[in-house]
Amino acid sequence: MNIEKRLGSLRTEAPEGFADRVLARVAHRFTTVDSPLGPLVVVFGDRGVVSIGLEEERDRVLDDMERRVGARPMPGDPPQLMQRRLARAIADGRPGDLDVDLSSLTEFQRAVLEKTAEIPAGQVRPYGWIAREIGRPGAVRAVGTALASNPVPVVIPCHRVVRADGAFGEYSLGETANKQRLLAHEGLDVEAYEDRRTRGVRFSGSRTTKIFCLPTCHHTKRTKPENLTEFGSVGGAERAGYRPCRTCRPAVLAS
Amino acid sequence: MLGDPAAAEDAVQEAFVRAHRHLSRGASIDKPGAWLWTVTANLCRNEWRRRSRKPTAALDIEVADTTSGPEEAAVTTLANEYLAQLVLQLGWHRRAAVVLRHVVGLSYAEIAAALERPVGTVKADVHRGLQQLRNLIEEKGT
Repeated sequence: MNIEKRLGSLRTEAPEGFADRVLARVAHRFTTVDSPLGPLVVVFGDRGVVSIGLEEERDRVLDDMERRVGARPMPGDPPQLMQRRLARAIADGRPGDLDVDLSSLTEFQRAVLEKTAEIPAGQVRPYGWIAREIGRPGAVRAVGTALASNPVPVVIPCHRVVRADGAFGEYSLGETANKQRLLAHEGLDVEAYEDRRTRGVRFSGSRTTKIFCLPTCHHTKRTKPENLTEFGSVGGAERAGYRPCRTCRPAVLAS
Repeated sequence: MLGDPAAAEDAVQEAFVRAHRHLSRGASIDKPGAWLWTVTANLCRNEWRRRSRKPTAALDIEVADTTSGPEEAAVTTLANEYLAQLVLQLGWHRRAAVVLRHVVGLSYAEIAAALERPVGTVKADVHRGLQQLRNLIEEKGT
């Protein structure tokens, strides 16, 4: 037999299980992490966390990933660095230095989520505030939709975005009460918040500085109670000679 | 190309994983087949170099018996293992060219792309590689 033919017979098929082993390396993995809402299932890949859900809804989260990327995530521990950053991101309610992979989202969704990540713990902002901040003041409803499909709740704190009237509104992670639960955990006085809201208060101002804020802005917290005043609308505050706060930006600053 | 099925599988696995990462980053791969061969060939070459630097692990060449074929195939298997040992005695460029041409069955153009060498050079490598194999066989009297 000539040597070319003999060389040809050295060819072998891919070993058994080859495709599975490749798949195991590219598939996302999932782990469980504690949170103020109880255990969460966290799905991650090479480029960071891709999905977070309640542990009790794990099958739904994994089904969802399987539909989106074609492979079901497998159990696995994240690298130590990611593990540390993940625990901190969940405790703080912001990504910090945790890698979050939002590459499958649209530019608009990413803009909404990135803006949401800037809201400090224990504070809330209306949907319209996000829309205005990202330069799409008319897209309030789309902001709501983008937040409803936030793939990484808690880490990107969509629980800090509320309705225009201050009502907490829907929450994607389990029951609606989880939104208040998280905010209370972050130090928001839910009772006082609800009291203000039902009285129609939308903004708070300081008599000494003549600045008005969203009621959960940390500048309001620092104002002495005797100097605190309340407004039901931007117009009301402006007529009283107050200017919007530069930190929480409750309204567009008149230039 | 490596004389070690496990290392070979690692290289191919890694090539597929890299392709997946590349694509999932939104980049595109023009000719997936050629791309995979290029990456695999480079990975194999790196691995070969790494092993050559560590002679302990390196030249302990064994053709593992992953294919425990039926009895009647035993003779062929033995001959194949012997041939595989000889192929490993070729230098990297000749070996890669011979394997891709006659074991895998790629065209010269495909091999040139995978090994990132000119087509003419690849043809010469295959030719000289085969000649060297024939000489080795004669020497040892098969």
